[in-house]
Amino acid sequence: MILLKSIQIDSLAGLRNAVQTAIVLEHATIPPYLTAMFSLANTENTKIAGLIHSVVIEEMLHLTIACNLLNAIGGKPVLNKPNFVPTYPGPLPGGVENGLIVPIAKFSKNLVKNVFMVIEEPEAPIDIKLGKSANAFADLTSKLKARIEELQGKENLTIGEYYEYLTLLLELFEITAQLKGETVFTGAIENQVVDNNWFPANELFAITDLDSAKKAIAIIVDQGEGTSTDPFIESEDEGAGEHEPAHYYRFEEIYKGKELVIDPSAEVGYSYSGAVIPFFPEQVPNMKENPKMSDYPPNSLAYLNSKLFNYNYTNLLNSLHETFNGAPAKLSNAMGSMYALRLYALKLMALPAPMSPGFVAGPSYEYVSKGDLTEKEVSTLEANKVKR
Amino acid sequence: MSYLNTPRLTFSGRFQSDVSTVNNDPNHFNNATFQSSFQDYQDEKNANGWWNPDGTGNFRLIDLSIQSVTYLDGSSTKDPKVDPIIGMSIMDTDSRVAGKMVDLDSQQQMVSEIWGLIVRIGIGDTTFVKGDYEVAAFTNIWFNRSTDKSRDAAAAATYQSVIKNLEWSIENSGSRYLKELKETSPENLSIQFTVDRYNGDHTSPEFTLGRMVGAIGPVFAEEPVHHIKGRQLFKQVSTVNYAMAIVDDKLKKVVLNLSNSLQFGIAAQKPLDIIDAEGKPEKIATATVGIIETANLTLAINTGTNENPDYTYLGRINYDAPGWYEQDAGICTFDLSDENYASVQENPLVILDYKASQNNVFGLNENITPMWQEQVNYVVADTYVFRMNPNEKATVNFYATRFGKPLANTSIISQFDTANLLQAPDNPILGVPLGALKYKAAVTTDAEGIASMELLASDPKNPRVFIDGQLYAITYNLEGEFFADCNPSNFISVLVFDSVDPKIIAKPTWSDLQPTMQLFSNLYPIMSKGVFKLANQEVVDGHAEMLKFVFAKEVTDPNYMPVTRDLSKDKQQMILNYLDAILKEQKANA
Repeated sequence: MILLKSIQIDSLAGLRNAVQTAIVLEHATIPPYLTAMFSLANTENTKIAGLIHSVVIEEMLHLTIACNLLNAIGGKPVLNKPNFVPTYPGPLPGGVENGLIVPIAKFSKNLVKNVFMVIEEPEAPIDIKLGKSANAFADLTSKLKARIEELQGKENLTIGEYYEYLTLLLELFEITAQLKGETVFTGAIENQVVDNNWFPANELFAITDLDSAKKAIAIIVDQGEGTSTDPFIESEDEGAGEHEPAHYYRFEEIYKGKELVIDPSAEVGYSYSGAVIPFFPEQVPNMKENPKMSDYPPNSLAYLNSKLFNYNYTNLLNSLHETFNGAPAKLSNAMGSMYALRLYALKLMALPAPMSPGFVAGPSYEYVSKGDLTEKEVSTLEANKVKR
Repeated sequence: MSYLNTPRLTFSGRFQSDVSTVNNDPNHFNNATFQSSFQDYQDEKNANGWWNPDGTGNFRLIDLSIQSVTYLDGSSTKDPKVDPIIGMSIMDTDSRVAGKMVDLDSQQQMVSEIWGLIVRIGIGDTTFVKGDYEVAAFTNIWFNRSTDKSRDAAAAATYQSVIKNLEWSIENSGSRYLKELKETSPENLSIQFTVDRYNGDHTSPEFTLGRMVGAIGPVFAEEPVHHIKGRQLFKQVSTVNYAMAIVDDKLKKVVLNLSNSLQFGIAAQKPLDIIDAEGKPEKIATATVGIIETANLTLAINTGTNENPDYTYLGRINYDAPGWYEQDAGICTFDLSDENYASVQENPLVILDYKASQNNVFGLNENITPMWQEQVNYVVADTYVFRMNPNEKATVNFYATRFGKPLANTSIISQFDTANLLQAPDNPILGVPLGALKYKAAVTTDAEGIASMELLASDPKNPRVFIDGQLYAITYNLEGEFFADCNPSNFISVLVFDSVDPKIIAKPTWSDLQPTMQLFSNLYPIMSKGVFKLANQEVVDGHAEMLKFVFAKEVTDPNYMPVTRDLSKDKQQMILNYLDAILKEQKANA
């Protein structure tokens, strides 16, 4: 389970920072999930790849929702800075030290068990513990402050609690503002990303007030963790025709090798006794873990393709940044770059890793705008900075 | 005005062209005979999918740095302390997918176009000016540019176009050059570059990379987009290639572009000072690649005739100076006295080789070889590559000049010449039926020397059977002259797509789409390996939303599908209608 450092927030500015932290966190899971998925391309592990793909897509949705939320309350999402990208291997940003080190690695069942399921683990996974309150989002004003104080009193928060904390603060600030005839939802509606070509309208919608904000945050939490009684996502929180388990349980399906189904004979009402999810490990390219552009000699094909991957990845973050800062139509540019990213990753995984016999190269997710420069360019840049 | 005018900058570095090569063989378009080995890299015995079957089509600008600027007043610098833009970069997009390089057709690969490229001037994540590169085809390709290389690596070609939709943010650049450029040409910029020494060896770390030098300058509306309205220097020997020049009327200079005109090779054995193992200095001869220095080139005006020339010398061309190619991008300038300025208006330019004139004893005609001569009367089609659908019209704009000035009220004659220009043995027949492409055989230039010729396409009715549409080549010349008097690189290439039965377009089934989707799947393997297996109905139906998005894109968008840009409007509509029906069905079932 990922625990976030509890933070004291007493202003709207503080709340905006906390939402930016959520954006950084939502993004941070994407590169490791994507890499595992890329390593399954063109193998017979299509079922596993499909499950990871469905999680990645939802993480992208969560990123989008978090950006919409920050825009709605008058903040400005930042995605185009080198420190937006976490260092892999490393802990997830904003998390407390719990020993979890997230790598960039090829797919393996151990990766799913020891990393992905830890990232997505709910506070009380159903097979371990049952019986917590079903509705964490109590909206009674009188109870707001008490629950906020309770959460602030905790040393660490789960991701679910973190979002609950954000929701409660949002509610408190909004009520306070409304008493003065104001609102915290001052963001321009044009900045909301609501492109329903990519996500259905019940999952992605404009955040303009408290109700839509609460509904949007609930989607993130429900898709990520599920509720404490049902491992499946509630139907109003997913696309038409879908009936998917929350991320933790989707990863557990992969690990156990069978689909999760409703099972009245099981103690908790569910069991992994559905269709088989096969895994053919010998087909997965042997990608060296945590590749870095600097691992490869500059005079190698792996370096060239690593640089192009990173360049494209940087372009992707730049286009998302533009998308979430007043140009929502640019989401389609970002989608194009997403597909291009995959092609670059596959090119890397088809190349031997220089100086590592038996391994293939892989993507490193480095923000390269500056790193892309030659020494001469860097010195020119520095010289010009002084001049200005 | 163009990239040869001021304010001008030069740049050099590398480019990537990750073109896909399975479609380089016309016979690979035949789904019935396609084999999976056509998607493998070529080996010693088999051509297979040629040298880059996994190509994405991506075209990128890499490591391009600005080498020099020339200001409005003609003064020039290569010093970043004088102008901070020196050493900065020419880059492509920072926020979408790469531009694409695409052939017109498997049977016309000599006019590859660049689509969806963004050009930025800046450094790192700082952009001073950014715009869209207007689609352009290469010209003046020659395959003996680099004598130390073979095949594609030995070739060179040039691209000229404009950068439009400019966004400027130069306030903090501290660059006099950018300030002058914005003031002179705020709407569009002219850009020309030469590409060569391309690496097509998939085992090399330089695979898909090549060398690029180029220039950027101002542009005005009345100029052609892909050529200069200037002086055309035609090669007289086989070891050089076309050159061009302008006479800058404001600065009274000749500005000559030799970027794609001279051969490279193992140029010299240059001694290199090193320290040997015992600490003693030692001179070691090393072979370096450079311009082959054979001729003593001088620019002149010929006030006589070709048979009895009378040369006025404008100056030696210092192409052998260190860094000339990379820093000056092959561009040389020559001052004109008032007398020479007047003379050059009505006499041709010529580039000479003086083998025996080391003492500068001019006038020894017997020792002088003309290497390039100006084509005094000249006509060129600005855009010369067209993709057309039945019942579509397109316009060819001719620019006719005499000594680089408009040639008014002159007839331009056009004719089909497909068999001579495009025909290849054993491949589907080209250029028939003639009636599927109509144009007016003679058009007359206006006061600006411009004449427009309309192309009208109709359904060629699938003469190539397994390749959509038909290719045509049209040559042109000034009345009373020959196409040989034009630059033969610039003949007009037209691809006319086939029609599809409107009933099928309206209600397509998977079996109507399947052959087209199978073709993409065969010819563009990276898509099937990396993203979607397009020949699979389940996959297409399952990704209908995404596919609709890319198939409905503007052809100029880098995300447009197919990357190869060889899909007819009818087939595009058929695919979109199919996807719409699938999406409707999916919604109804949900």
